[in-house]
Amino acid sequence: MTTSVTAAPSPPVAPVTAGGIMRHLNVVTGIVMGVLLATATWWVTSSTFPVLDEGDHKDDAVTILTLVAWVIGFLIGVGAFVGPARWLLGRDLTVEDEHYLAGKDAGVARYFRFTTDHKVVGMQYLVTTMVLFGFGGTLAMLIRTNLITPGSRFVDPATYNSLVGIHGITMIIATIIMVSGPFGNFILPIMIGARDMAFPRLNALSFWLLFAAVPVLISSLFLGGISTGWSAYAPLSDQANRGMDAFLVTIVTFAISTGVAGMNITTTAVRMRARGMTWSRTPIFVFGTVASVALGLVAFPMFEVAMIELGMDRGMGAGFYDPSIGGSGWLYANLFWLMGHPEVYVILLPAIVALMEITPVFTRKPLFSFTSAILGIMGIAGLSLFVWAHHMYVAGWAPVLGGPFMVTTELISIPTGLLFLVLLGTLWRGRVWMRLPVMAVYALLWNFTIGGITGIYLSDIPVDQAMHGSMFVTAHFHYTLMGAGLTGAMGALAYWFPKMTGRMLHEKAGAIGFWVAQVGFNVTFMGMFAVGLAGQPRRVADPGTYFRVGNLISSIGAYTIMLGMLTFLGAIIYSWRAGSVASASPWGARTLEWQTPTPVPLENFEVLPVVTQDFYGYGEDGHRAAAGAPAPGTPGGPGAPPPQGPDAPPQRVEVGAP
Amino acid sequence: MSTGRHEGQRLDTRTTWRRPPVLPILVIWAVLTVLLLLFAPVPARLMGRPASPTMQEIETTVTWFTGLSAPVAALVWAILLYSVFRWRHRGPQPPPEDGSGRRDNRRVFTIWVLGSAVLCLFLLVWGLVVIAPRTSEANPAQEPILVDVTGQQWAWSFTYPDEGNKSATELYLPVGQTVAFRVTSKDVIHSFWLVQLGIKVDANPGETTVATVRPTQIGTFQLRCAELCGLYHSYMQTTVHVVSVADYEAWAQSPAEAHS
Amino acid sequence: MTSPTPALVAGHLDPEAARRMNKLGVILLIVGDAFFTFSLVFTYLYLRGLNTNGQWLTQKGAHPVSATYTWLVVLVVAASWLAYRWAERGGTDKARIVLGAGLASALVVLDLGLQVGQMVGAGFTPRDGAYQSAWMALAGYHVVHLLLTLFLGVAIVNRARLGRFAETAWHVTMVGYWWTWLVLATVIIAAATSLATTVPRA
Ligand code: HEM
Ligand SMILES: [Cu+2]
Ligand SMILES: [Cu+2]
Repeated sequence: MTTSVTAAPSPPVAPVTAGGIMRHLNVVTGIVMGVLLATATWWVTSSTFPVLDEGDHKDDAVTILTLVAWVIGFLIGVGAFVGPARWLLGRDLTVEDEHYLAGKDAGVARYFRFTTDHKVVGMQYLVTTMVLFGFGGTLAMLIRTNLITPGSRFVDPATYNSLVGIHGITMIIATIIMVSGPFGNFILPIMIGARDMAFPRLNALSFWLLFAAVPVLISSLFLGGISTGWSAYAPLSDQANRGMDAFLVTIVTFAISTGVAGMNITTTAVRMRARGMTWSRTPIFVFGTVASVALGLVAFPMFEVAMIELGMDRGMGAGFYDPSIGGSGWLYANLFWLMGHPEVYVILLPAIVALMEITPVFTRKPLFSFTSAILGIMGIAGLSLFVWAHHMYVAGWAPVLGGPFMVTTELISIPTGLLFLVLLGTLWRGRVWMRLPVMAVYALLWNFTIGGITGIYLSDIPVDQAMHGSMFVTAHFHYTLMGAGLTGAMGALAYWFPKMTGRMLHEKAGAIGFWVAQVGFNVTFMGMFAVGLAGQPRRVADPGTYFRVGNLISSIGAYTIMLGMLTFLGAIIYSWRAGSVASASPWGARTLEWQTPTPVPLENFEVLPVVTQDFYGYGEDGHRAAAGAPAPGTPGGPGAPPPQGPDAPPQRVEVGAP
Repeated sequence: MSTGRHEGQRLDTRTTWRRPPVLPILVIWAVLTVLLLLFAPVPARLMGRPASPTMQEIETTVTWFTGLSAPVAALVWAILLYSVFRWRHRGPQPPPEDGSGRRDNRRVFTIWVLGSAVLCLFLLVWGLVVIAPRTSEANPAQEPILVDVTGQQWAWSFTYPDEGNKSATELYLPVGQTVAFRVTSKDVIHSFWLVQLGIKVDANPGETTVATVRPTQIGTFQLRCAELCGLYHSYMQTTVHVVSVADYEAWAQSPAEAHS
Repeated sequence: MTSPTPALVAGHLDPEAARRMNKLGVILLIVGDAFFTFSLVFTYLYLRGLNTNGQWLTQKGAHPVSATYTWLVVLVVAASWLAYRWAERGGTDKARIVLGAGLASALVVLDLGLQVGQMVGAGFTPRDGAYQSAWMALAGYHVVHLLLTLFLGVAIVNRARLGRFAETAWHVTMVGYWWTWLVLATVIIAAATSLATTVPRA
């Protein structure tokens, strides 16, 4: 590896003056480029594309290409392609460039450009997630408002259908990213003792892809809405209006974003763990998040294909889903649920492992049965790829497969049960320091019990004949996605808020908001179970008078949720700006993210930690006395790097260890 | 769960299960189980009176599942409740002492896994056994009455091949006889749902799916579309008339309705 | 991976660590892409199996594309892979990398031409039916694969030319993994589309 280098005709080092165009790119240039490219594409395509005689696919083709052009233009403008382009040209980024990209200047501006620092990306995800929840939640309130009285008096059925569709897909996207986005990016690398993600530029790319997808999603509102529900069953989606084009471009963009993020987080966790952090010493949050994003990595390409085929059907008149020329809606349904079922665990796993991280801290006990947690996560992740057809029991595509799919579906309850065992076992006899993060554990266990049990009804084929397509299903999956998933994410936010923002989340306001939302949630979806059992189909604008009472109850519950969520949001906003300043480790937790100063410095650790034991050693010899939280106001700041170095005598990395 | 002795606790000579927290949790568990068992018939009640053996079976299953999950849910919730009220530590600081350092408990793990496996096995056997007779019902001694069902945005139509292709927009069925529906669609996917009869099958364009049922109650019931199919999906419903055999014959002989 | 040097810039790991990390990353991306490929092949085979309304290749004048042509496309891809492997085997021999990767890229361009030619000359569009749609999707996917590979190939040539491969020799290996997957995917697609064509009449 020596000689030929000198013969190279070019200087061995990239340009001395680091920088170039990328220093001028940010979200504004991105938007400008995106709009320009989209406009140009719209103009060119709409003036050159032929109008084919049968069916007007031209409009859809133009819409799809315009939206794709927006995404590409935005990415160009924000500087996402600078790295690859310079790699192609052989002018690799200099150290200075990388520092610039990482946001060394530490200014606010770095949140608005292609910044690679995983902490910046985590914050960007956090805010985006909250915006998406706000948007989706508003739509939910409109839906519930319409259902207060029979007769669809508030909006017309067309609007209602698009509200349901946009609400559904917005929430699905929000819940997919709600934990692995903010905390998987901000916390996970620190938790494993790394300086950044494995691929920082791809990390930024995955966020900005998501960012580019959001306006596309919102544009569906103005293109006639997503009138098919989030599942977008074909061939209804073939004939739906142009909101569907926005839907499919959103999904394709989002799928690439999740794929890239999944690959990045997985690689980070596998390859970047601190010295001494063997798998058995790795925090459970890392396992669950990796299982989730790795599952996403294999699941989302299938959705992407389904959407590209939909795009071809709509834009080119292809026949994937059109039975009259040999296509089939069953093809779509299979691809969709091949993604769809793994996806529900993509959502659930990170939320539940975040709570597994939280419970030991607040009970001052080790995580109960680490092995069960691992088995549960792996069992769920593995099985979830083989259960998709339980969403298609009554589709008629393969009646003989009903039995086998029922078997796989019901088997999932065993690993799911293990996750319960872990949480309950950790609570067992633990003196629970009842702070906001751990409250989510209680709420989750309550809700998820109901969500899981109702899932078992649905997995029974005869019962599903009565339940499928009814509000019962809607209630079931809200109990899992919202009751378990979102609840866990709220706990996670309360837990890591001090590390991420440097301030404590206002406990009282937060807890009030949280519990009001929980009560409202149970009212809403208990009502929904009832109308579902009584025979109300899902996604109906006008359920009729027969279901009036149940729907009224659900709507009252929904308004309660709104009150709670707004209170919680208020607590977040207030605390972020003016909350009491947090010490570096306000909970006395042991994982590595609490061993760095707050705010976390650019590369997280001054000296990379060495791990000598796992992070759950509460109550063990020499640890009887709890690692108390530092007194309020104690600077955990830059003056207190963890005392370890590679040569330091073996010692624990936890703050407060004697 | 772990009933291991908590260090520093007074030596308690009572047998494990009689010592706190086990006994109080058992009590809470028992109370919750009883409450949930009382609740067990409610879902089936909400589903209404079954109008076919299929629906009867479904409601039985629902009730059994609720009943069987009662102790499971009660166990989770009992621990939660006890934990909230008895194990809670108040104050701005974590408790001064760590809890027990116990990380695992083989016995509990084994019991838990075996328990959930047994429950799961029960579900499987239950499900598979219930499917079996249902499929055999498709070939009863007596030939089923055939009804061709077509979904179309946003209405249902029915043709009776046995009755000289009589067509209708409301469903008429004779009580006590097995009916086989051959379901298809002209445009998008709909789902053919006879609510009180407990059957549902999708109406797919380009395909024909089959569902069979034997109505056993005379009365009027609902057919609702259970798959979002576009603008007026919520109005894609019609009435199902289950009538006596004689009434059915009379209806079959009557001239077809005046619709296309 | 652990280094006490405080000034280490994230991402600037030592080459061996970087290689291991990138290897895993590339493999994961390939796994994701494999599921993409799987879905497209599944589409093709499933629609053929369903043969809804008897519409799989039964329209007047409908015919499957030439299998020989398809395997020719595979052949050229395989040749480009061989050329790339040859370059890769040469270690840090600059001339050999430039030559091998250059040849490989040229073959990719040739294959692009062949593939686009096959699509244009197929005599049908996706509008004609399920077979035509599914086939076009697979062919189009191959084109996307080729374009991506071309980008990688050209980059390797360029970087080698500039003498950039020495400190980052593992880049060549990473692209090699992708190239291998490209061949595999092409073979899978070709096998599906040439072995499963018309539905045997019942
Ligand atoms: C014990 C575990 C579970 C079982 C046995 C189960 C079973 C089922 C079944 C059979 C369906 C199909 C119902 C139908 O459409 O007829 C279903 C729907 C659904 N489940 Fe679950 N489920 C379980 C847990 C979960 C979890 C943990 C989540 C999410 C975190 C989840 C999310 C969903 C969603 C989103 C749907 C409906 C999607 C739609 O139709 O729009 N489920 N579940
Ligand atoms: Cu599922
Ligand atoms: Cu419908």
